[in-house]
Amino acid sequence: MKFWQKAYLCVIVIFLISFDAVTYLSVIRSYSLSRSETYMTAENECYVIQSSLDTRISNASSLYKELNVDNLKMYIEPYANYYEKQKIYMELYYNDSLVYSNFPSTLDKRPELQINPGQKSTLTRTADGVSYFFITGYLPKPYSNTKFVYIKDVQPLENFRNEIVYHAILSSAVVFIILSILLLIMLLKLTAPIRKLNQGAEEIAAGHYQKRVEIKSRDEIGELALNFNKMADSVETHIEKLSDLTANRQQFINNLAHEMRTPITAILGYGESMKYANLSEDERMKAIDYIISQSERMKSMAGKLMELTNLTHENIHFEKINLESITEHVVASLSQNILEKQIEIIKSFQKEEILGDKDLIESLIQNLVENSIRALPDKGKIEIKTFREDNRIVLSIEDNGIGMSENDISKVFEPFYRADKSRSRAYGGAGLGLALCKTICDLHGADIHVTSQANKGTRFEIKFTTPLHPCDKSEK
Amino acid sequence: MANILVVEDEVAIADLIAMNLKLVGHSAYQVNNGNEVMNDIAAHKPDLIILDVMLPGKDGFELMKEIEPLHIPVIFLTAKEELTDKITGLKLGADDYMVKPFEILELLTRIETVLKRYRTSGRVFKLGNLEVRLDEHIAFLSGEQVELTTKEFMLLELLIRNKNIALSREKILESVWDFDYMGDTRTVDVHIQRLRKKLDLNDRIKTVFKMGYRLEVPR
Repeated sequence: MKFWQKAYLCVIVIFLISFDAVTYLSVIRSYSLSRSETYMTAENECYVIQSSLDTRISNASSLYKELNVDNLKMYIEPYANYYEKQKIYMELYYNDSLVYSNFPSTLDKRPELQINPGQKSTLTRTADGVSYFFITGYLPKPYSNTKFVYIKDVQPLENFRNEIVYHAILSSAVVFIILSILLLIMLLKLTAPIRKLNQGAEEIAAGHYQKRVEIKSRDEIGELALNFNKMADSVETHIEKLSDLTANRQQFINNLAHEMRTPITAILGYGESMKYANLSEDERMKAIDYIISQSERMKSMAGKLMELTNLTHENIHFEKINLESITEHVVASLSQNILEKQIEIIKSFQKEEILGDKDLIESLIQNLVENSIRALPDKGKIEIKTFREDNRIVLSIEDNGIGMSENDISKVFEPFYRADKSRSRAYGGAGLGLALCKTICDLHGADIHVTSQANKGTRFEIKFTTPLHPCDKSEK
Repeated sequence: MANILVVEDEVAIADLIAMNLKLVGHSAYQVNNGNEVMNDIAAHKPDLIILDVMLPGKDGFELMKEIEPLHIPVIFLTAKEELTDKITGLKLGADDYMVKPFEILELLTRIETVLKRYRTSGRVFKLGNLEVRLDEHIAFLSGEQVELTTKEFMLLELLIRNKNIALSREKILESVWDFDYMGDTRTVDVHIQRLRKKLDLNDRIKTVFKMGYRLEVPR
């Protein structure tokens, strides 16, 4: 059952019970007041009539020795005739036999008459659908064998009672209808925000995470709506983050699949050709060379991917390392490429040691230098230097090669991103080197920045946080 | 046979395609940069262009718009496998669209199909005193017509189209007969024997051990 239905039923039941109880009690009270008043009046009248009758009989008895039925009839008749207009009737019994009666209805049994001498009875009875009030008593001595019955029509009292009961029921019904209407309007209005909230929740649950509820009231429901919207904000943010993450992953996988496609096509194609085609010895050598070089390319890509995914805080070891000696080592390992392109390397080092993982820093410098070599034409120039800036050690690697556009700079650290739109491998690499550099810097708490201008050159700057204190691992 | 331009920035792939095209008798030359393609077309007037989409300089779709009015058949060969890219490529007027990685035999077949559509004069294959008129389905040996069944001619055509490349018996069965042909690979052997006999090709149709047959033609 809905909340508004429950509230409606509760209020209606409680109200009707109390309203009807009050009405009932006041009806009873009012009726009993009227009744006792009527009965009191009746008894007074009865007394007055009986006394007058008694006086009259005693006065008459001084004239007549004996009391007889005719006398009695004569005495009572004037009273009876007088009171009949007021719907008061009388009966007179002498020695239990009826002497006089002007009571219009006939009654079979007369229980009110069954009294002992000296007793008095009062009784209300219905005759022919009309209520009558009977007062029966004996006349005082010496006429105690004479019984006087006073009968009053009390039907107006009954009519009055019926009328007030009817009015009570009517007013109860009217009040019930008016109350119901007002209550329903009020309850529906009060619970409208709850329904709105509910609807909003349903929509959000169905996946419309951008949906908010608009409830302006300042009561608890308003507060609930406010908190609900806050919750929806937080859900939306998380969902967005999640879907961004998924999109990034998807992009990464797509890129990976695309990157693998060229070497696979080449290896497969040359392999098939060697198997089926009637190749010359030169062609055979060329095919084998391509198979080897493309396999190496895949191997290097797989290696870098492994490195990229395995890089976590758990498996890096901080130690004191010397940037200059690492750079020397890297340059030596790349000397063949450097000589081939006749590249000039300018080094300027302030003797600084940092805390870091030797292998990772070496991989970082190697990737950056390789990147520069690729970007350089023959006889280009690479400048590697370290210096202090704002109490931080900075490693800078700068070349005067092809450079990048601004659009490229923002994406250069994304895996598989290559500045060259065609993803040409003329300059080599899988596009993972700089993504790796970024991860290594993050793990060392270092910032990596790139500034570049197309056809002027590129400059990478790595700012290490503090020389001998790597960032607190717990921060990450 | 045909003069084919390979536009592909990946040298390994470009070399692979060119090598196989030369093997079956086409002449192939390569361009690695999108900006040089139109000049090259003007200079060499190729019969067919194999075009990559992602290129340094102008990309394949841009180039296609410029090539279209020249009525030179184009086959896209690209790593872009989305349906929208295929539709874009074909709507721009390309004759075919292939996705990397690809099989060489499939590429050769598609090239042949496209060339057939554009060729006006009859294709004729000559080898020694053998002359095969591919469009008329007639073969002459020393000027005399040789009677060949439909299947025999189809087999001959397949061998000619893939000359210098070994074809497995399964591949032949699949191409000449139907996929669901119930015969076994010996059917192929029987037909090869008949071709060798009828056309005096004993030295030319070589049995390649463990692989199949290859029509060897001097290059």
